[in-house]
Amino acid sequence: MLRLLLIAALAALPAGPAPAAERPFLVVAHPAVAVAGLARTQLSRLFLKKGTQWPDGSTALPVEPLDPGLRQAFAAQVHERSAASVAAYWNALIFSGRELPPLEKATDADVVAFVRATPGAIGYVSAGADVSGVKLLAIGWER
Amino acid sequence: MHRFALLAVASLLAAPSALAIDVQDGQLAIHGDGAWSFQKTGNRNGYLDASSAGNYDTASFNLLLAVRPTPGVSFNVYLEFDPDHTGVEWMFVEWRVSDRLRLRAGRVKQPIGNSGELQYAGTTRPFYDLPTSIYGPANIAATAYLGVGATGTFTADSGWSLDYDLYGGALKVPELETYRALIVPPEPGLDAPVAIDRQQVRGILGGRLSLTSPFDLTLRLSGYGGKMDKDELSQVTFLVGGLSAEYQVSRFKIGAELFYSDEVGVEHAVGTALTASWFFDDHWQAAVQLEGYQAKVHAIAVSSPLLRHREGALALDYWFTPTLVVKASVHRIIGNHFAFPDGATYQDLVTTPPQEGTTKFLAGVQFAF
Repeated sequence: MLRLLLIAALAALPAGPAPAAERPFLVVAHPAVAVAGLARTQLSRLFLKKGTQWPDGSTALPVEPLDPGLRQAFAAQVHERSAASVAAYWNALIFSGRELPPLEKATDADVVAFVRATPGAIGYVSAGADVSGVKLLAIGWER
Repeated sequence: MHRFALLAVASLLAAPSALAIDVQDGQLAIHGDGAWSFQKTGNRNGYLDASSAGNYDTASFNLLLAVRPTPGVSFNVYLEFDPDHTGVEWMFVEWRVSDRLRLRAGRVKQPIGNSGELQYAGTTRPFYDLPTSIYGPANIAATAYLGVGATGTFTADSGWSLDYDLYGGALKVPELETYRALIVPPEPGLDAPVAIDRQQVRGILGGRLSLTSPFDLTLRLSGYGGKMDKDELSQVTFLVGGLSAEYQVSRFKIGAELFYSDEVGVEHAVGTALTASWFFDDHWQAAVQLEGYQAKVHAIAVSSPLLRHREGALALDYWFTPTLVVKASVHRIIGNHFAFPDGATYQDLVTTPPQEGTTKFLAGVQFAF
């Protein structure tokens, strides 16, 4: 009985963040960006435009792919919100005249091309995308 | 009227998703929002857009243009189209020095309370309209100030953030002086139909502080003050202050606000509102709203329903997407500060007192892109 209870309790524990190998996206930045990695919360702040500057004071320009599945995964794992909740967040900021959402690009290749060509740019792409010419950022997922 | 209704319906059908129009990598962005509703009361009283006969003429459409010639500078214009008014709702230039300092000048949305900057975009709330007792013609919140302002945000690694707004200039605050015929000695013009006054307040200084926790609780303190024009020759000091709170967890959201306004030596008022909403799934949402308003006019000695407003409301919404929603709501109103017979004059409201209770029904659609 005790063993059953223990198994049930372990099964009820939250699964925790997915290991790095299971992340369906890579985070990329312009090669001149002077950081090697970001904490999840820092990454979230940049893409929610709660902060729009890199540590050296230069402007960060976030860009997102249109792929709804990838955006959903990014919202869940980075913002820890649903995609609908993120959309509602932007709805409020846009119409209060406060901020506009990140730029959108049709494909991974478009995101990489924009990031490669734009100083300060940061984006995310599918895990299997060609990321040559841009800096791959390490993300700290631990809380 | 039909032109606006057609415009709204056409825009609704054309709105494919949340996508805005984005030109030249964000140098020009175009967003818009629109709404249409049918609103009816259950007796002879009207209540803002709701009439006793039923009002279909409520279509509105707004267009937001944001031009960013450089990453630090933006020009923002919000154009309003509705059956009664077409014009510029706000228009300002912003210079972003840093995240902690953004300077603004022009006609800028007034940062007040939880929702002062969101009076038009209906996809940002569960009810079709914001609470009348604070954001209606209640002598509390304006839609925009004309002048200069500064805003910014301070964020800690712990997830707490502090946002501030400071502004100065002038604004027009809307008010319904339904009680005018009760004032002693009587004022002229009591045979005119009751209408919303937009009173000019000059030399204002205002601000808002917003503290947001990592667990999505936001507390706000806002207020402003200045000199209100009473007629061509006289002004009174006008002060407004209030506390607001918002909390969101998963599918549940609750907001509460309490505001006080004072035309010093003339009248003061208290407005309060509580709104709670719950998403059953990704589409269905239910909401409840309670609000109250009480005015005290120094030249009126009697108690009257014309000085107060109490309202309870229930809403049921269906969200097709986060930017397209159909809403239905029923409202029970007690008091005649905002609810009175259509076309009544100030004198009519005293000589033939209206029914104190009013029920309002609303069905509508709101969208944004």
